[in-house]
Amino acid sequence: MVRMKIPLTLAIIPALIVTSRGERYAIPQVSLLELVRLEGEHARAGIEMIHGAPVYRLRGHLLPLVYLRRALGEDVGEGPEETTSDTPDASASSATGSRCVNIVVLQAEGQQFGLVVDEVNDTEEIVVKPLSKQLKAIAVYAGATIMGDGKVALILDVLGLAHSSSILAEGKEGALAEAEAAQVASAGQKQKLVLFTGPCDSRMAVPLNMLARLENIPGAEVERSGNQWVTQYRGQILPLIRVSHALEERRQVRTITGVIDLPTAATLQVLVLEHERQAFGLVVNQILDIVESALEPQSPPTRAGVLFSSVVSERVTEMLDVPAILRGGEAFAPVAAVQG
Amino acid sequence: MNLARQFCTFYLNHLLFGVESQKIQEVVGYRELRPVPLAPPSVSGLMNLRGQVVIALELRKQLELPERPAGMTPVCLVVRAAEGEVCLLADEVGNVVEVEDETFEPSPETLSPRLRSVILGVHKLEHQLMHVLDTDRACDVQSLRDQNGEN
Repeated sequence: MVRMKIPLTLAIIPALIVTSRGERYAIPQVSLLELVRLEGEHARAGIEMIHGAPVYRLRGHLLPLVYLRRALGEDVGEGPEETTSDTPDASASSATGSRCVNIVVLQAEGQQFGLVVDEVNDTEEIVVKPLSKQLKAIAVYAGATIMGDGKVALILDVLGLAHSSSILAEGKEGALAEAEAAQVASAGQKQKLVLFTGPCDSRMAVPLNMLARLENIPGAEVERSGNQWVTQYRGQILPLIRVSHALEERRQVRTITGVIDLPTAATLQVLVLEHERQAFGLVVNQILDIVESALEPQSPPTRAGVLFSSVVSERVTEMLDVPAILRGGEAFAPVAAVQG
Repeated sequence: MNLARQFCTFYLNHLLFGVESQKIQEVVGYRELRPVPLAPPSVSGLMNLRGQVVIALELRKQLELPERPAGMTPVCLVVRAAEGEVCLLADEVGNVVEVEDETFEPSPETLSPRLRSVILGVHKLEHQLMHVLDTDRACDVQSLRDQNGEN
């Protein structure tokens, strides 16, 4: 009986093999979104410039482009024409139709960008080998691997590549705006919502995917911590935010005193929500239902903490902006402390 | 103090260098190197050494010597450095010599501080001086560059 031990440190990952200047590079498949190949006329006209920064229109959205050669400091020329293959074939270079651009669409920290490479070869399972410490400082490499023919190929670090090409540094706000746009876009689709009533029987909703649990908390179990309501919940301290307080009520003047009053109701209906791994309870008047509804903003927000209003189950319903309410809750605390 | 020490010798630009023989894992013939864009200039590339990816450093560049003439194939000295194996490229390998501590003298002050950190000193052999290399320093690209920046 022969026993073999295989070291666990060997990481085998699927990767896309691309070529730049005749050398192969591996791009981990996890960051790969799609491949775009522009041929002929598209190769010349498809890439546009925003003040010298190349972009490509991918289904109506502008995709910033990074040329791998330039990112590796190998390309001193300018313009997108350098990405054509280096074959000194006179007939090929004279005919612009033979030129093509290969764009590898990648994702790094929520930001998409296109990596322009000379050639896209194949996908392979590769064994990741760490880089020697002499090369650790170079952000664009994640490691090295040995290809089937025994030659060494470098593994590209998509995040490092994005940082070194300042895709992330400059595009950070763009990424956030895009995420918000995606949120609005998804609002048009059907979404599961938790319906509840706020003050004065007004209808409100939050997305179901933010909800952890629905709870009835006895009023006697609510305690004060600073000027916040808290309760002991599954061995943790759960901050409670009252919908009536979190939303800016213009008709109702909020008196800020040093001591906040405890709830008078016997039980509180609480939505335990999770946002960015932070749990908190939203105290509502009455939990109504869970519905699936196509959400379309039908009127702009009327007050802070509300994303938009829409008609759900034949009632005008306000979609709550949970992150804003959380921020509001934090901002509210120190003000009261100063005045108290 | 009469301990004889073994040094593996090699040549760089006709100068004789020596590395303690325990530090040398093996000497292999030159093989294809994978160049690494954006790497420091003394990094010649990466090589496949029986399935291991090993970095190859050009000793001539590390020691501020003129570039190796075209057509001269280097040899690879695989040394065990502080952090794994490193391949050092030299012109050719010499014999293994035994030297005694009496023949050693530290590098003179006139040598640049950068080189003095890599070349520990010389052993006065019968016909020639053998430069003793600190392998850890010779394998270290980063600190050599940092020191260069200071000077």
